[in-house]
Amino acid sequence: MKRVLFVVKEIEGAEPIGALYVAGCLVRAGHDCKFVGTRGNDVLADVRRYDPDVIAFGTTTGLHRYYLGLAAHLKERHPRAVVLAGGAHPTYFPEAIFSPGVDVVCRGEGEDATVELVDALDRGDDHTRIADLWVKHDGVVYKNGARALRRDLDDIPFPPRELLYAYDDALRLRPLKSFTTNRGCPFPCSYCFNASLVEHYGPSWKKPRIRSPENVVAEIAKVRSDGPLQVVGFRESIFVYEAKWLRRFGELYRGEIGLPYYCHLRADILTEEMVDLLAWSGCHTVNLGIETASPRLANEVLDRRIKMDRLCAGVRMLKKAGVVVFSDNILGIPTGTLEDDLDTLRLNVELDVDYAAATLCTPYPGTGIARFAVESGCFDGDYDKIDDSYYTESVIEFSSPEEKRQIENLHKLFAITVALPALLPVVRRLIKLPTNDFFYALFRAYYLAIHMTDVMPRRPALGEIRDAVLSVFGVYRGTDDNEHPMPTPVPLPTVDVSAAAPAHTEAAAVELVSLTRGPKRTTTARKVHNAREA
Amino acid sequence: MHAKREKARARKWKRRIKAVASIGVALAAGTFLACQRGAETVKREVIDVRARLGGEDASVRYDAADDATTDGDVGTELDAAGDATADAGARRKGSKDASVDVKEHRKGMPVRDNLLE
Repeated sequence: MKRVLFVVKEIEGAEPIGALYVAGCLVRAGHDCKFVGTRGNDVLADVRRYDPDVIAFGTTTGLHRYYLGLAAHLKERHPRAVVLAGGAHPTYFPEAIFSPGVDVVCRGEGEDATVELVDALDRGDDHTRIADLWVKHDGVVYKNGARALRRDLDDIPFPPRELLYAYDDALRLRPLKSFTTNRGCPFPCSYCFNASLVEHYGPSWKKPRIRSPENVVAEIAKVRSDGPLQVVGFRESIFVYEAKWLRRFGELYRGEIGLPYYCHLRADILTEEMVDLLAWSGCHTVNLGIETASPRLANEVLDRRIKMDRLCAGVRMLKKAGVVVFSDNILGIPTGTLEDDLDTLRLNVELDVDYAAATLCTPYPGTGIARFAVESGCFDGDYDKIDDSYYTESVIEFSSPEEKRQIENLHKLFAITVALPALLPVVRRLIKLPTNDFFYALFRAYYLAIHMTDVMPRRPALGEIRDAVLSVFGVYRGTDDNEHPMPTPVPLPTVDVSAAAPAHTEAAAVELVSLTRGPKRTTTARKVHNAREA
Repeated sequence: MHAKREKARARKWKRRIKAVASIGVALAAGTFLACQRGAETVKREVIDVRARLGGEDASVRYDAADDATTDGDVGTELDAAGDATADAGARRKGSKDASVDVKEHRKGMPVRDNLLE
């Protein structure tokens, strides 16, 4: 039995579902797992107490700086542990393996690869030939290919949330808990991480793998029996693809759960039957992407393959059925203009969207939008510039610094203007002001007010309201003292290992790679993928 | 259907009230944050001026500036810091970073797929 410690930066937010699924499989395989947060906690002290064999974390781009810094710090002081990095960033950018402190990088879904890795470490076997992993061993990096996707999701154990509750019982008391119903996505949107998973797994990623309604409802019922639950949040890209599944889910959900739920959908795949079933089954809020009002940006740049009239029809159907519509919008799209973003604002007002969330376009590595941004000269390809949050500043270059500032200001005022359309005429003037604390505070105040009471309706505790108000004033509960500078990557020789061939017959070719960053990586990755496909 | 429409209308009005309340909270918070940062800027400028005049150890300078701020010496120091303030003003006009502390605001921003709940 090995001990695996999962470090989660924002453990106070939504549950780290991916890491929990991995932990569930490890526990089933007989290993011991523990979760710790970072805010108000000394992670190194936890490492010394628990003495883990593996330290694992999942990270997105932006947060990677934090995690890679922490990984180096922990590895230096606890060199015995194997440090495993998973999540979106290593999937996009497996070169994270070259960061000192990281021993293994997991690309894509981590359940099977992590169990194989920890089992191999337990037995003392070679762990360098495991599909989905890049492994650093004796100064060499072994790059393994992708494994076949697990088709039956019902076979995966439910995320062991009790591991989170063991760290902090307040997490059990949260009224909103997260679930997923499927994996994979058939749409090629250029701004989404799915593209890099298609690159890694091939076209099989595009075929959604769907949990049975019985399995999903059983998990929710179990979670409800463990702690309070007021709202169910479904977190996958697209909650449901067909009416048949939704009907069966609704029958079970209404009978056994009967709570309001929140989910993500694409407006253009909705039919009247699906909308009726959604409302009937208890759907309170649908989060859908409007993204942009410009058909050119939507289809040529964002590659959404969407018809705007169908999108609008879907939103109107949801509104008519009494479902709260929470729209996602992307401002500052490469080659777009301020006028395009103002059109997007007007479209949200026209559709009477209940909450219009806006984000600043962020070219994550491995995505089509990153390639496009670099090719069109709107981004220099330095992914370390990408922020933890896509709600602060844009890394995209526009026609002038003034235009960029106006787009960033519009982003802060977007949601409130959709709520109060009377502000529309003054917004044009307001966004010309210098960036200021009021815009930031307004963005956060309205975001928190709506999320706590409307989008995910629940009875917030007094302490929660107090913390939310204080956070608008820049006062936060607990500090995070685990921040360390991100180390400089160290180039190492690499060995390409094909996943298809058995490990012992593989003729590995050793090559020295430079730490190429940016679009070159994606080209290389595509070549590797194409060669594998061939 | 009528009940649904009524419910939707009520929800819309509630949302507008929340939006107006958010503007109120944001005005207070924005003013608070700007003043707080203003005080910090003054403190930093006092340190700069002292460094230019004296060149003591940085930690001593910081403590001294702290004392100056709390003892109400800021006014006199500000006279001496006139040119430094002008520099800072120029910086603020030229650089967006000077007008807000993005790093501080980032702490309160929702993280991807990790909505503050």
